[in-house]
Amino acid sequence: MIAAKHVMKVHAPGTPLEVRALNDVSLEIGAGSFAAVIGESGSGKTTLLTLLGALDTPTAGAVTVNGTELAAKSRRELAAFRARSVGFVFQGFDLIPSLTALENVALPGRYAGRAAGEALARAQALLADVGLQHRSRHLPGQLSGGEQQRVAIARALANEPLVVLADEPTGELDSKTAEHIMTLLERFNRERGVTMVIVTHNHDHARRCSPVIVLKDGSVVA
Amino acid sequence: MISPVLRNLARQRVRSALTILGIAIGMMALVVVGALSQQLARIVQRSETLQGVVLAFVQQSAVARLKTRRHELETRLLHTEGVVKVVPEVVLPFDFGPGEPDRFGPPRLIFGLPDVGSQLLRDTLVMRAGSGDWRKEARSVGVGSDFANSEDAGVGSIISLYGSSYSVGAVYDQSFTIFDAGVIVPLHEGQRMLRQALPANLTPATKAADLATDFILVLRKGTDPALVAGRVNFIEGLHASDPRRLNAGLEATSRIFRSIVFGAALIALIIGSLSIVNTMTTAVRERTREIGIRKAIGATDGAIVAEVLLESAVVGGLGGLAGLAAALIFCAAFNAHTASQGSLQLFYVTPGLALGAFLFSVALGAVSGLPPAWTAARLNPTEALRRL
Repeated sequence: MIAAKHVMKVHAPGTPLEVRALNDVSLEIGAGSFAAVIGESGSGKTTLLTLLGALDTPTAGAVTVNGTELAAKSRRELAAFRARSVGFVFQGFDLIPSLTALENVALPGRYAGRAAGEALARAQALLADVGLQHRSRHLPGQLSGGEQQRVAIARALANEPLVVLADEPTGELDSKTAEHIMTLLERFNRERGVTMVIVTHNHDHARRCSPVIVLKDGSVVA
Repeated sequence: MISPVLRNLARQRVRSALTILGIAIGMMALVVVGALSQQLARIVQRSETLQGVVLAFVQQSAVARLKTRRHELETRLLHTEGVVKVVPEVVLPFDFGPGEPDRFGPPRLIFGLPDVGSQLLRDTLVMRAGSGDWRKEARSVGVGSDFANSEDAGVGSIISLYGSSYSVGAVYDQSFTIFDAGVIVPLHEGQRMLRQALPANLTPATKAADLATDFILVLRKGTDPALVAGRVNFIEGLHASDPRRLNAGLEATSRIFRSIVFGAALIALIIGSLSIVNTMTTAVRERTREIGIRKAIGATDGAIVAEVLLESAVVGGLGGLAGLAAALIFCAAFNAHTASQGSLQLFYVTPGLALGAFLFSVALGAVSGLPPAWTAARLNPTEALRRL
């Protein structure tokens, strides 16, 4: 289970650029949920995602994953946590351009300490699972947007994480491809039991999720 | 593991190529100067080996050559403490043409040696072509490798020495000694040429068999050559060099060259380092978001450092390989040119020098990558992910 308790995040505190991105946010997302975070631009959705994914630490409050408080972890432990327990999917796909699809999917496995052969074998299986085994040797620039996002989803699942955090995963895709990606995320949530937290502007996509967390001006309003 | 690095370098072809070129130029300079130093070291080492055989050379003054009978001097030298054998020789300049001053290296000389003298040099002069019995043939000579190249002479060729024709009976391998540019003739032939070179008014009174310009001394085992040289210098008309002083001079020259190598290495280090630091810093700045992504999917600071260092080491290694290849081509071409002129070959690229230069370039690349690697590793993932 993922929980945030009275989380506050202030960017550039004590400077003229100070921004209160999150204000006393508390929430719980149960294991195996297919959750959505919605809200207007600047409402704090991405900031919340970075805190849940241990990419950043809250200014106040606590984020816990399966009972472990992330703030107590060192930089190295946080890196290990991100490698083994969290998968990220970004709006702009964000594959490493110098790596093939297969190498991109194998990369989290290597960071988690798996042997190269094992990481590549798992990556091959995941690429097959998203229907891209025939594109495994291609570089990201040689793939379509939908294909890149499927590779990114496979990469997010490389280490069988507890949670996949997807930041507007369909934001740069046409509606047909977006639907395909949402279906894929639902399938992995259902078949693998991995918790999905999806930040989206798309209310149709949000309606397929539960719970739906609504943020406004850095606070949870629903 | 290397493929992604090469793909990354290919993303900025011109910048990568210029950085590699910068290192290649530095490494080429390092290898070329290193090859020059290696060649000098080889000449010094061969010279020391030669001295180990011959032990001491004694020069006879021009006046003494005429006033004193050679056999008297030999007897006096033989009675000098520490000397077990005295071998007379005649050393004359080769009757060179107008192009001689343009040559590199030692002058081309004619060595008139008795059989015993040739035997002393048997470890130094290894025959490349011809017969070991050339001394038994009339008007037959042995020539060094550089001399053979300069005169385009092989076994059976006819060369002219002091107005007489001689047949080349043997060509020796390169020994990196003064004999490479020389012609070896039997002692009596050398004496005849020397007599011919004397002023006409002295010629009738001088017997060729009495002439010698130098003596080679073979010393008793364990004898200090410097002491013998000191004793010989008390004999009127003779001058003996202290081999230790000669070696010290050669080693001092060698030290100067090593300093030049060090200086070249330092320049290569600074130029190469700065260009790699610049390239990798720019690369890290351009890939800030990529580094954020890597951190998001689990890369530790150490993994980021390793990735940047690997890339900078590959840049250094590629520069090193290119520089090494350019240096090998340059040295081979220059050596071929000087060899065709019969001059001293200036460069000697040893496997150790080549390997050392390559490893140095890789290490240089890795060390230069440290500052940008550290910057990349310390990036805050959320800050990095905000970059487009």
